[in-house]
Amino acid sequence: MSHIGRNPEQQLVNLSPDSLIPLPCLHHTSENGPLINLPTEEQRKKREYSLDGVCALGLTRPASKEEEEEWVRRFLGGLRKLLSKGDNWTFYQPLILSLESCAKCQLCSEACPTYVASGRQEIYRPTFRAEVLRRIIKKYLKRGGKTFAKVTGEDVDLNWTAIARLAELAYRCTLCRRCAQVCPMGVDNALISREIRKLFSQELGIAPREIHEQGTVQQLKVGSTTGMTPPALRDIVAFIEEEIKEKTGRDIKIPMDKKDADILLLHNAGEFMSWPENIEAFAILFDAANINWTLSSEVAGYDAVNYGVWYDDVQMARVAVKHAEAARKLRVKKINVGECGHAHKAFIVTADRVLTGDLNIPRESVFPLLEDLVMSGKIRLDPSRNNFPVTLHDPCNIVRLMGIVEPQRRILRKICPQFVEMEPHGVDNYCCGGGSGFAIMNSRNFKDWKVHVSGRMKLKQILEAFKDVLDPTIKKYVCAPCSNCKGQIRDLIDAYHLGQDYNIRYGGLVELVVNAMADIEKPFIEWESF
Amino acid sequence: MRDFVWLQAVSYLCGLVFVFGVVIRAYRYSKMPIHLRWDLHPMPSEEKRLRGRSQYEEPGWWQKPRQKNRIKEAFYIAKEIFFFKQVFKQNKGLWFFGYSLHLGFYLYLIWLLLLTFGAISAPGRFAGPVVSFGPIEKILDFLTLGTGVASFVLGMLGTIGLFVKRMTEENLRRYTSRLDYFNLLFIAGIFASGLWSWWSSDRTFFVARRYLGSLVTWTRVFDMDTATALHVLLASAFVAYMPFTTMMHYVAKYFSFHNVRWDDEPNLRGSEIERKLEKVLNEKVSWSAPHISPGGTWRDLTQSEKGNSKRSVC
Repeated sequence: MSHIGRNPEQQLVNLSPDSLIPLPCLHHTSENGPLINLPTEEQRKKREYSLDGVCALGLTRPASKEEEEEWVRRFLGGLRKLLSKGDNWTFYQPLILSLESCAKCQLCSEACPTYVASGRQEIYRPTFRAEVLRRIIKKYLKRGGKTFAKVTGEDVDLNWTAIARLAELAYRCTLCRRCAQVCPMGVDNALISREIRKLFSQELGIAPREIHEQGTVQQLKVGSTTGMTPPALRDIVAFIEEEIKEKTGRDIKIPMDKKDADILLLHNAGEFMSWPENIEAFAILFDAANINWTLSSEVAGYDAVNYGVWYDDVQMARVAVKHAEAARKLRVKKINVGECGHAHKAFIVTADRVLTGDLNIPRESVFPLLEDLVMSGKIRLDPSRNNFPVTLHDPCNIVRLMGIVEPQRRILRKICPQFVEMEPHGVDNYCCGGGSGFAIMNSRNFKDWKVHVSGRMKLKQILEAFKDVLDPTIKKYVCAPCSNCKGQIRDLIDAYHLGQDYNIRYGGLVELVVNAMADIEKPFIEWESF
Repeated sequence: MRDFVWLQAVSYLCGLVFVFGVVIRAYRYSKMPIHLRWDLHPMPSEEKRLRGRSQYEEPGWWQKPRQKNRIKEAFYIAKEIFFFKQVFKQNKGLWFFGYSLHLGFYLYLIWLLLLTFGAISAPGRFAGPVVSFGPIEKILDFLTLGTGVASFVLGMLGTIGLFVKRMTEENLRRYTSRLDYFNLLFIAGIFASGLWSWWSSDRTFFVARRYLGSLVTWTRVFDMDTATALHVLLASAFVAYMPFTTMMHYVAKYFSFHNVRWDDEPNLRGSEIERKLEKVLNEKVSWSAPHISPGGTWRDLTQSEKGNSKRSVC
């Protein structure tokens, strides 16, 4: 930790395929080449790669000593705000408690999938970045800090290199909170990572482009993090209606901006662009069940995502308010969040204390509704149509962070005769590796890191779940009821050729439900399209 | 005869510092502003639910009565406090020494209570060496002896074991500061001096009982042996020192679990939570990033149209 500000020309760690945990039936050593494309010298001079050879933020080194000092000054200013009740009432108590209570027992480390999968690289240990922050606080913000740091041996030099590495380090944690779950003191190292991200975003304006400029800023400006505008939404919905007609023969009109509906359904807009079958499936199911529902074409009203929950309270609150305003305008009775993990957590839980008065509209997950539709017999279902191995990926935000564990399982047990659990599962699940925004962060070589390091444990789980049916003639389905998790699993499947070699596919939960609908002639899931 | 009023003064002062330290720490945590929800599952208080399942599995959850089982929660807390269950599950080696140390502490507290009770329930015993008056006093003496010696032995085992573990395991050594080692040695010193006091001069804990009785009854004490005096001095100093260290995690832990991890109280219209939020939403904002305009309140920010970044961030 004391080295975080030293040797800017060298990486703190060098990741090698040989150090990563082994995967069943997949072997990649350093002889096969690097898993992560390392930067050239030219790239290293332009951007900050000195943490681990990977770049999430694209930071550039200050041009002068004065500029570096200005960065240090602003960083410390932001840190003071992070530790102030007024500026950080949002997470003041949770942060202070986590900073002050760590017994440094390292129980959290073995719970962390990134740390373990990396071959136990020290910098990915949950306590590493937390300890760096504590040392900075003690040395630079407390009276007598410099002397105390020398006496206790908890020294750290705060300079540009330390700041840049700490910023990058905040984006090596998926915020899955497995570490918090096992901590006997109640310390939450994932929260500390998130608060570090917040300091950089809210004070220094530093955040990954995909999450901030192309994320929350774009969503608030044009309507969606995908860049999809309301007119584009209408076009895509019209296309989806045609697809439904072609697949099922049913003329289903997807309600848009319908006032006084029972439900406003909020989808992750990525579903419209990348997985329209998910939107189709909901429309088919809701139509069959006669549900009084609607979508919204208001800005942000058709995109459930709220990236702010990962890095910026101000953006998080702004997006949540926009979602609630869209629902208020339509006078819906409640809002249902579709298959998007972080949207569940952001809108139903974290933003719960941002929405007051008439913005406080009831919000719930779509999973209890799906469970009711499946289990009640309202829809005629034939499980034999899903007679292929299915395993369930548990999105962290839905299970461990919200406690929605059983509805999706009851559904799968009913409609998928070959459902098999990953181990561990439920609240003990492993993150897909795409959490906290990683699923959409693909610039420079970050994608290599998330696929080969943070996603490695999930990859291992998938292979182990299907270990008895890996024969490529057997089609297999990873049910991932979360858009970002689907994106990450797609990238894992692509990177490791699991589609070609083992016939492993992925998709959401609602697609399986519709695939089991006995009244629809053609199978809804089109394996050829994967 | 030597007068130990100075030691008694030190004990009183250290005790006061401890009480103030704990009260101030607890008060500080309790007065922190309401925060956004950051709950985590499983929650032990969830009634009739299997591992990890929450109110959000119910359709229309906001209309249903919230079923919390406080007894289940209390059992969970008790298992953690008295058996360190989570540590046992994750790392048995660490659990052995950590638990020994804490068990030593718990027994030490029981020992102090037994000594105090013994002192004030039979004041005549101050007059001279201990003479057991009857079966109750015999049981009390036996328990006092047993808890005292056990606490010293377990405490030393735990602290020395942790000290060695932290020095020898790289996992732990990297994160253990000189202050952490000092704290462990300090605690080991208390238990070691207690053991030495018992072995060398106070086999029946008569001296210790008399001293505690003198503190409670506000009487002066004379004739203490060096070993016991040293033990009292170390224990008193530690009690005053503890509130300023991370060893106060037992205070923080209550808030970490009850106010953060297990706080899933929803914000319903007209609720106490909503009233508290109205206050914090009026806090001024001074963050400086381009997408935030400093000077306004949180309420202004979330209702502002200024959601756009004025420059590229990277």
